[in-house]
Amino acid sequence: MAKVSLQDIRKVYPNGAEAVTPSSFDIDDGELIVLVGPSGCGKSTLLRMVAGLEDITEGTLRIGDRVVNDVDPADRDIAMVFQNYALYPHMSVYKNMAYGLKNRKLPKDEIDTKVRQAAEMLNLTEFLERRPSQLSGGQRQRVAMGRAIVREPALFLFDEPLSNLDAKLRNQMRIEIRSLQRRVNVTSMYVTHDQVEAMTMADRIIVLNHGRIEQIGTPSEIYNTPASTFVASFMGAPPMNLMPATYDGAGYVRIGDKSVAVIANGAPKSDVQFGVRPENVSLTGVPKGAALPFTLDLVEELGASRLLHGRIEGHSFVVNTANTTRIPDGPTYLDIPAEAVHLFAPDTGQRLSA
Amino acid sequence: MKRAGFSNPWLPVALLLPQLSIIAIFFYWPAGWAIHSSFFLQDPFGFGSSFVGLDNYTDLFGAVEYRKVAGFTVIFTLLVTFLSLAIALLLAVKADKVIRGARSYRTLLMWVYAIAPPVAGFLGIMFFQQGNGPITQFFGFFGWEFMLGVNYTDTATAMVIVSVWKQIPVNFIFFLSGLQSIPKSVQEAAVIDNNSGTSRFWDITFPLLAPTAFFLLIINITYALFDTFGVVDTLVKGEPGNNPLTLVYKVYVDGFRGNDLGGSSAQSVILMVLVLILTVFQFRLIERRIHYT
Amino acid sequence: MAEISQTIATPAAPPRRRFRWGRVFDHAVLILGSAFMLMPVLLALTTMSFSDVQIERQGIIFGLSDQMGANFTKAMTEKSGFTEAITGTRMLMNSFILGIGFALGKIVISMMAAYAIVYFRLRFATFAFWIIFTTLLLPLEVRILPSYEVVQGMGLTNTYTGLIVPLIASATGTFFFRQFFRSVPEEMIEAARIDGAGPVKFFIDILVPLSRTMIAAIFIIMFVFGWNQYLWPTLITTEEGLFTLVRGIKQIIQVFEGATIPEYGKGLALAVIAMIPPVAIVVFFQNWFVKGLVESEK
Repeated sequence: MAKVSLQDIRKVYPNGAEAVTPSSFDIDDGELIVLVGPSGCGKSTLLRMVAGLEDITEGTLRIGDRVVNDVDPADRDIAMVFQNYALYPHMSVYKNMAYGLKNRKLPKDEIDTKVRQAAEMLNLTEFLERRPSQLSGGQRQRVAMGRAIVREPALFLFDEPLSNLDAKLRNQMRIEIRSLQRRVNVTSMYVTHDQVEAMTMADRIIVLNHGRIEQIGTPSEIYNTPASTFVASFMGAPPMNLMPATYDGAGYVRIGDKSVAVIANGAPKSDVQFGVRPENVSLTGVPKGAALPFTLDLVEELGASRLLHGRIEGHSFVVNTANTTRIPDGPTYLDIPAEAVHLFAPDTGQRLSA
Repeated sequence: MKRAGFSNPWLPVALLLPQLSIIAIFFYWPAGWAIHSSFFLQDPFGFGSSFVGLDNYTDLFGAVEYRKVAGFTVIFTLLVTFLSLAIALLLAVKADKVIRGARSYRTLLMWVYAIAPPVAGFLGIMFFQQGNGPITQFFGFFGWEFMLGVNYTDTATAMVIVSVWKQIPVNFIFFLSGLQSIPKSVQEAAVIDNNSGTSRFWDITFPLLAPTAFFLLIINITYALFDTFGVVDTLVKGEPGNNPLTLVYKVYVDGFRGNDLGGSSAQSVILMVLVLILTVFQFRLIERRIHYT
Repeated sequence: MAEISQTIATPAAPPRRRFRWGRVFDHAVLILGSAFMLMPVLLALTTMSFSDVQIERQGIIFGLSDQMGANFTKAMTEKSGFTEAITGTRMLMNSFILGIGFALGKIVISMMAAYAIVYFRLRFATFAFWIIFTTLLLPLEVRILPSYEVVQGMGLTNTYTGLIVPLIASATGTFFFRQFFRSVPEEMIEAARIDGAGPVKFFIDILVPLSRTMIAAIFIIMFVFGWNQYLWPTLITTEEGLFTLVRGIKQIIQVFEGATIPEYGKGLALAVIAMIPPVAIVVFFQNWFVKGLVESEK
């Protein structure tokens, strides 16, 4: 168990492409950090640099108190779970788990105890003598977990470990991995492109885009106060509604010829990106105060909730309502509470309001 | 068979006919004939033949000459197979690792595939020539007076070297493709589990390459037994004399030079049995291979 | 909130990389290996640029002289052999006839057979498959004498037919196409049948175009295989007019033995000419060739 610290870690490939701009963050002891972002955002590269599978171009990487930039992966005291599990196909489940320990010259009976313990924990005991090819996807996933656990590493690395599973199994394994990580209390770095996985599993989330860290924060910070339009639209499903608007410098935002009250803490008059989460607005049939007219195009039934696709002032807009909400027959209006509005700079996409 | 296959009754027969008739005439008939005539003794003047049962076989196994050829063939096959596999494996492992120039290396290491064995043998003659062949001179430097076509061991050495040279490309191509089909993440998992490159190779890479290696083993044995005919024939310059010969070469010499149809046929049949054994062996290995994936 | 500092702009310094001796060793091994494969042929080429007398005296020579063209011309145009009946040009042509004839024959015949086996409801399909499959077991070399007798009995010695057709009598190609056809999605034939294509139309309009790369790959392998045939041509062609380059090699060597100063230059030139077409096709169509080789042996 250890604290992990990345200081100005940067990756430039020999062809000159900068995959990761200098990035710094710390991972606390026992914390699970999720790196999330679209494909090609550099999250896997970052993880692989920590693993030692990629050279670190610049910067300092510490695991515990040790600078490990030039340490071999096998000597970094880490364990990694790969996307396609990367189990050794010619070895039994037992040997797969024991291999790393054997190479650390642990005594045979100690290896045996650890492997059996891990197998017990993961319900793999009856499969120990099987080859990976004789296991189901979920079981292989567990073997990959077991292989990581038996090493009792200072740091777990997960590289999209659930993306090869079907949706149902993915939900189940998500919970299993999280509770297991809690139980063994090992510092973890987890890469995924799935924002639901990120929200549900993370102690803290790091959102990456184009090799740059967009935001670091707890799931609720990320959700409630996204640092940029990118984070706002990447995290949350359906994504935040965004549209150009003008802030009048006096607590109101103008969209077309309509006004909405916002909390802006004395920001000056300027063009802005106006953002509202689909679940933070309510639909009415009566125009009250700040309500905006909403043209409803399509209703999407999701069971517990429904998505209303429509437009306000010509901009497409999605509303997420409970399935109990009655949809008025006549013209519809949206009630947008001031505290639900997020304002971003139109050029940089950076957050303006609190 | 496809689910929605056509059910036209005559077309498939017509499609199969050319292949089947060629095989019948040029494969089954000669093969049958070989088995048949291995039990007969051909009159030396070409007037008919008489049934002699297993005499041709017992004669062969009793002949010192044949046993010597068989012995040489075994040693030759083992050497060629082992050396060409080992060298090709080393080169493939290195070629799989480097990034810079990978394609050029691949081309340089495989193009010899296209050279015909007798052409390779001809180059061998030039290089092992008595007096001024460069390899002869090189060996002479160490006090080894190399005499191609005169000294039995020397000729055998040249045969092995030329045959290995000719066979490296095939092995290289298969090993490289085998290495490239090992998932990258499995290699990376091994890097995390083990810090010694050498022991990683033997623990992970080599076992995963084993199916390819077994398969190549059969291919190489077949090559050394049969396809080296051109190498042997050129290096002995068509004069078997006291030179080392392989079993296939002896079939040819006895059948076409010695006109010993029965003896040559019996040798053919022995080779057929040998190939059958190899094939059965190969199939059992393929069955094992299924477990890996 | 956490500590972000990724905005510090650092000038793009050249990536610091650890120097690795292992990598140098890798390249050293590969360069050595490449040299081992390349040197014999390279030296044959350089030696070819010398006159016969010089080669007789010095053997293999590293360097360049001015006889390259002369030796090539001699090899291509001068009549040679015991009956003085054949030139290098003629041998080259025969080699092409053998290589292309064999490759085409093999492809056409084996595609037809594989099509019949994979795409038709055929009662004796399994039987036909095994009949064809068995031929994989016995290479021509082990049944060489009886095969010769059969061809001789049919009066086909010293004909292109006798040279090419018996070589086609094995199942490698059929096997290869069978594997490939089986991997073609089932929906392909279902869609084609719904669109009203019969067996001939489906074969020509769908299957052959789909198999293009496969055909190219197998063509390269078969061409090289045919071009490099030695034992069979040695037996079947005794008339020098039908000699291929590879077959002619033996003649060159035998002429060497008798002569006071053998025609080394010409011999080397013929050997080089015998290498160029198959080597060129393998090098230029490397990807297809490797694909074909690896797939066909699976």
